[in-house]
Amino acid sequence: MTASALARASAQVPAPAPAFWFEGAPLTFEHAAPMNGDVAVGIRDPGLQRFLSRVGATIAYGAQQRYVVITANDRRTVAFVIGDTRYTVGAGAMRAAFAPFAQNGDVALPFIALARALSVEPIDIPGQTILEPQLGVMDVRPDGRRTIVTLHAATPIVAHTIVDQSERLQVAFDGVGTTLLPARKIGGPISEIDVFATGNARTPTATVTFAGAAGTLHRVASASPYEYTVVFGPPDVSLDLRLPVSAPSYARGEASQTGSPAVVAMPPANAPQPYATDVPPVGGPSGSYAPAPAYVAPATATPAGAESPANASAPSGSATPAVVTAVTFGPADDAFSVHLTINGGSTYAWHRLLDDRWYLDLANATLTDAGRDERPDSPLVDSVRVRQIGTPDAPVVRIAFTLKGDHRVEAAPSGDGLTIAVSAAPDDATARIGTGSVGGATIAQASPPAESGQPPAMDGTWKFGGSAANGPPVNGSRIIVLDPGHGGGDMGTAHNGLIEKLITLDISRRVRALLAAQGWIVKMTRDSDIDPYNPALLPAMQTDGLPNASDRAYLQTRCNVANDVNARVFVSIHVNYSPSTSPSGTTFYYTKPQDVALAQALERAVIPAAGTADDGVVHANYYVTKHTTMPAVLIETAFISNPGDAAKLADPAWLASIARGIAGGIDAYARVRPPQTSRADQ
Amino acid sequence: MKALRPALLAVLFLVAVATAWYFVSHRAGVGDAITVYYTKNDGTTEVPWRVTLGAARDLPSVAFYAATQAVAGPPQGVDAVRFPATTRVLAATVKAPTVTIDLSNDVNSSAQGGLLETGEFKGLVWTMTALPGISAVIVRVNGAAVATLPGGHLELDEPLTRASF
Repeated sequence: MTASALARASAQVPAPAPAFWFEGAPLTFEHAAPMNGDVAVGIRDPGLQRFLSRVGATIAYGAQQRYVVITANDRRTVAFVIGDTRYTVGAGAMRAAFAPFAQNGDVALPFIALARALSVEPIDIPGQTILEPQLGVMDVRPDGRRTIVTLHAATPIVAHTIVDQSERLQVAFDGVGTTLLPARKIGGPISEIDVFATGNARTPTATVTFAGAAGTLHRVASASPYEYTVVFGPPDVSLDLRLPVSAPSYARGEASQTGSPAVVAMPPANAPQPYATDVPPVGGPSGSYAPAPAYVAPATATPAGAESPANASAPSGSATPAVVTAVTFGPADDAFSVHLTINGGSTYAWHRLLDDRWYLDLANATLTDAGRDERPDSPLVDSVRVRQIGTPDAPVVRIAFTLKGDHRVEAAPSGDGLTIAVSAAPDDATARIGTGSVGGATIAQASPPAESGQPPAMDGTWKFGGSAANGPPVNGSRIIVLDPGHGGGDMGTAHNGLIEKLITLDISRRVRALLAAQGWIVKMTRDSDIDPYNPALLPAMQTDGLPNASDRAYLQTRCNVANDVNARVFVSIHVNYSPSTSPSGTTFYYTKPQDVALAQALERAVIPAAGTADDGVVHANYYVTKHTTMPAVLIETAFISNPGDAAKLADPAWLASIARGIAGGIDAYARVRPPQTSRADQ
Repeated sequence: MKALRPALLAVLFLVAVATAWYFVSHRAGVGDAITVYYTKNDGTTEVPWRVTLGAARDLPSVAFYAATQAVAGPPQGVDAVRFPATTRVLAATVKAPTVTIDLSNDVNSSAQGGLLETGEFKGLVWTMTALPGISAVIVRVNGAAVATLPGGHLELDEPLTRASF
């Protein structure tokens, strides 16, 4: 008899509706027919859908093909083929009473075979078939000196502990029977496991007894409502399990939180204090001086073929540090100067901040004296500090001024060192960063990039091309765009009491403060808890024939913050998640070939600063890195699902550390790399 | 001996018919098993495992089956990046060299970070592109094209290939 003949027969001859009982209630099928000792049930039958939902299974079938695949709650698949009695349960092959068949757009399956495959045992009693969920799978897995046992049931289970002693555990599971072997010898930390069923088909109970070896301990854990897991092991072995983390679902909220991207060029008043954890404040006697950035890129934080700030200004061909033997102050009525007496050659980089602070870093240099804190009697200078900073491998001497206004500061090499002069003249130069050398050292950096049609500076005084007289570059190449991931109704991931959208904003603000202090102009795609969205993008995206206009409008808004100003780099900051608690660390995702060097620079700077596992530079087809026209990287800073990483994410000191790494990586990359002007150029 | 000749010819005829049937039914170039990939918890490493096929060997059926296996992932207990448990394959439409995989809305809850998203779709793409004649995968969610998952990272509105990862 063929399947179609059976279908016709079942359609023409009304069969008595099978009476099923499942979990204390009747289970009724709207379209079912007895067939060869089984029951044919359509996959769209509401009764079957309820049954599958209760056992945590999903069913997949698509038109124009012949497989019907049911995925059990333990990820085993049960695969039927239309027209074939053979079916598979996991890796095992079985044969059903009849072949599944298609009829009127539906597919009929052998329900009894399916139920058994899902660990539900049909038990016939007069006039009814009771579907008894089973404790159907016992997985015994040696794990070093431990043994892990996982019991798997067809329906959600609750364990009632009967005996709980160090070497003996007995638990009962109401509502499930069992087809497991009644007793099995195990060996190792578990001597034996006994299983028996009590009750009746309607109210079964399965009881399991674990007999541990002498001196063992155990711990119970469960990863899903369908599982019961116990670990046995000796007392000197950890019994902790790394169980999967449940993943909540978050949907994007209403697009009501419309906001313009934040544009900031200096740290806000409430910005986190940079380097507060590892560099003592270098404030003047009054303590009014906010900490200046003390970042020195690690020696390893240099992109291939490029130079880190420290290395860029190190004397070429010499690893011997220069020595600052004396610091002399020379106040005058209309000027103020500081003279550094220096033995050896060195290079320096100076930075002018937007709040009348100015500092100079003398690279690869040491200070013979302790630092100086002076508050001179000068109408021009409020305070001066001299400090040894950097690391033993990359020592830096910093001279920092807090000015009493917008006064001009000039650094000039002299016969035995360097003189820094502050004059009353207003600082009409717009440049905020410069470099130079003393003692015959040369600046060992790549050629300064040409911008705005200006030729590269030949005297090595400008990092960004042009000169003070030429004004700032106009193509946005000094602009760094930071993208705090998620925001508003889009929370990102949330676990361990942490919410991604808030963490990414916190880190981004810290990075912004650091970069702004180094003279970069920093834009952020958002500066509050919003999901940045430009409604003006939507109409065009709805008519361009591409899908998902709304989501693209959200993401493109972020990209456009950088694209519209032709930013130097775009860095998107995120927090990672895994269903397992095991993965940890920081990942640097890139899409375009020109992203790689930025990703590598960030990797070299962030990993030492953050102390996280290095998950590497990874290619990914991410929207924001793909649709930005400049080098772009998406950083997954740490895993919110890993206990160790989660502790870091909750620690403000660590947030400051990783922000320092990100800022350092961006700075190391951007100051020696020319801007990418368009994708067409790539 | 002459009496055995008809029987021998009948046997040879049956063998020829069986052989022809075998090759016709396997014309999609698919063997008895397919290679399904999952992504390890490191988010990047692909691990293959073999899954036995049922009787249906036509490419649309095999593509659908392969997609369901990739979405289901390896047996429990294996450390793997997995799609959300309730994610279903709604359809797999083959138009070589591209296959379009339609996933249920449940997949949206995987927008939880780069590792999860990348790992899930990398396994799916590697599985589908292991089929003969398939080199690209278009992803749909509940029948609709999407740029990314809501709040997600991975761009999904263009065909994904192994080079996408």
